[in-house]
Amino acid sequence: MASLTTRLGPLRLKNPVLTASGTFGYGQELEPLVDLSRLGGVVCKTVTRHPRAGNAPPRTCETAAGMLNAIGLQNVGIERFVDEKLPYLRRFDVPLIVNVAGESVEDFAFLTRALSAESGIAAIELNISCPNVAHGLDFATDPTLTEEVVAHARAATHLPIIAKLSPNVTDITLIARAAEAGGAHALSLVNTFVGMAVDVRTRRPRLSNTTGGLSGPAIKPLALRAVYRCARAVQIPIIGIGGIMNAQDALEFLIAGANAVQIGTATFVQPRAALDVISGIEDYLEANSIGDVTQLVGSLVTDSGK
Amino acid sequence: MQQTTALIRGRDEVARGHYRLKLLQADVAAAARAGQFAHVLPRRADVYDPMLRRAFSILAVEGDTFDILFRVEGRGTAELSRRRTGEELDIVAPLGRPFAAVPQRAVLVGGGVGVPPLAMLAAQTRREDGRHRAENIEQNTLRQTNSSHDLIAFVGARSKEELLCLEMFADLQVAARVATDDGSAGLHGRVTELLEAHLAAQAGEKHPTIYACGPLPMLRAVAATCARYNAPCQVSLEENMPCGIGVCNGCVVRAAQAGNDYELYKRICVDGPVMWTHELDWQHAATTRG
Repeated sequence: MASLTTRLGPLRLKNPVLTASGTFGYGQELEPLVDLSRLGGVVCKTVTRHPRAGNAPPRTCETAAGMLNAIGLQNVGIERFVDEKLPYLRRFDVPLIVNVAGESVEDFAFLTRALSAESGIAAIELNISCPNVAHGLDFATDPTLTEEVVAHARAATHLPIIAKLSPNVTDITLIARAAEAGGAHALSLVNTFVGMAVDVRTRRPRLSNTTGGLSGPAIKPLALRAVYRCARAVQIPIIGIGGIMNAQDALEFLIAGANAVQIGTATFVQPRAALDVISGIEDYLEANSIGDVTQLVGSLVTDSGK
Repeated sequence: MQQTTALIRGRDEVARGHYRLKLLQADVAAAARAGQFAHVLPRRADVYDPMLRRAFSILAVEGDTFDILFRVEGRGTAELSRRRTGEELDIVAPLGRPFAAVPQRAVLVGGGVGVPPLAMLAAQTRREDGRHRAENIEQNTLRQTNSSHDLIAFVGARSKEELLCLEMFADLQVAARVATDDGSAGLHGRVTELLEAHLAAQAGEKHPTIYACGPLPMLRAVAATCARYNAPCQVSLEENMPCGIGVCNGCVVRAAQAGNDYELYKRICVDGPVMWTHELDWQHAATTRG
């Protein structure tokens, strides 16, 4: 059997496949359909300092090979998360990565510090790239702010810090370098691409928020390029995200330089998508006599060597 | 709830652009309750457009099979309408909160493709009636009073050809009155006018419970009418539903009273699709289909 063990800085995973934030709830809803303990890790729905109602409906709309969403970070807030959601998530034999979002550097530091006091959390993912809330993108579109927020979160915890970046920037490698300079142990990329859709019958936007984040197979080539470029720009590990529907897609990200992947929108369609990706990667390694998944990472073959 | 495959055992175009599929899946057929839905993948597994599953109310269960009925509205339903008997569908079912137990007297109000879950509710209620009768006979009860539920259905559609499930209601001995937008059958008008007249005629009596499913403007009118007559009412809601199992928070509707911010929106897929009208904020109720 090939080894699937993966390291993201200090974080050790039994395989490189995680669930993406906002697509797996707090694990509860999927437990009847998915054996959570087989996953490399679970990244739970974004937690904020205060409870958030989220945006008015309609919040989602399907587009060609993808979907737009503008949920607006609906969540119960850190207090209820710790009291009600965390005890449940802790029971599973799977590394739990808590995704947090704030409106200020202080918010991120506060959330990181508060979660560090709790047991059963393997890492913190900083959502500095939500396109659907006011100021959600302020951090990940500015290298100085990115470095500052990562550094403050890093100083507030002993846990590994993962920065989740936005693709809605001119040059994502600048932001990736800034997150690295701030002390991030790993990067998650990418969050959704800002997009929109119009109902021509009513001439209204299909989302109440007018714009939303595009996810699904439609964004995979774009996400793959972002991972490829960042993998060459930074030394820290990268978690590839964007339209991964099957093992083939996940393998593309690993070969392009991702150390691990997150499965998001695919879970909406196939609750067991992440598990299928794990077994598909295993099959590929066996078939190609590759003993260790880490050998695959960044193994892209090019004639130019670029 | 489970993810499984279901074999298409039958396919009928019951009205222009309306298809009824009979699906073989014993566990789902045994577990399904009226108001619950199946989340159906309308495409092959390796083609990603259209990408998401589509939610369909369960219309009927019979032995090891259950039926869904849909109108071709977009790419997903168009794709599904091309599937043939003998093919398999990838489904997650049964999902969602079903209709509450039907009291002695109930009125079913359905519009367009909102009628199927109400036909299922009528059938389920009649099966209960049958069980009670059998028990009474077994216990040699001499009471000859008819203990069957008092059910009436108001069925609306754009035109006569699109009136759904009338045969089912007739077979179940549920009196059905119809309304069409174009006047081609029954009342030339809205199905909600039938409800209004029915409740007005019963003023003074204890009101029946109303069960409704249909387009949002219809449900809004039903909710307003029921509030006026103080009649309890459950509606089944529809919305774009990416996951169907409560993880994406996409298919929400605004709640009437939110104790806290994070409770302002209810998820139609798991908190519904059936909800009491008093649970919802009708002022702000807006869905994609409305």
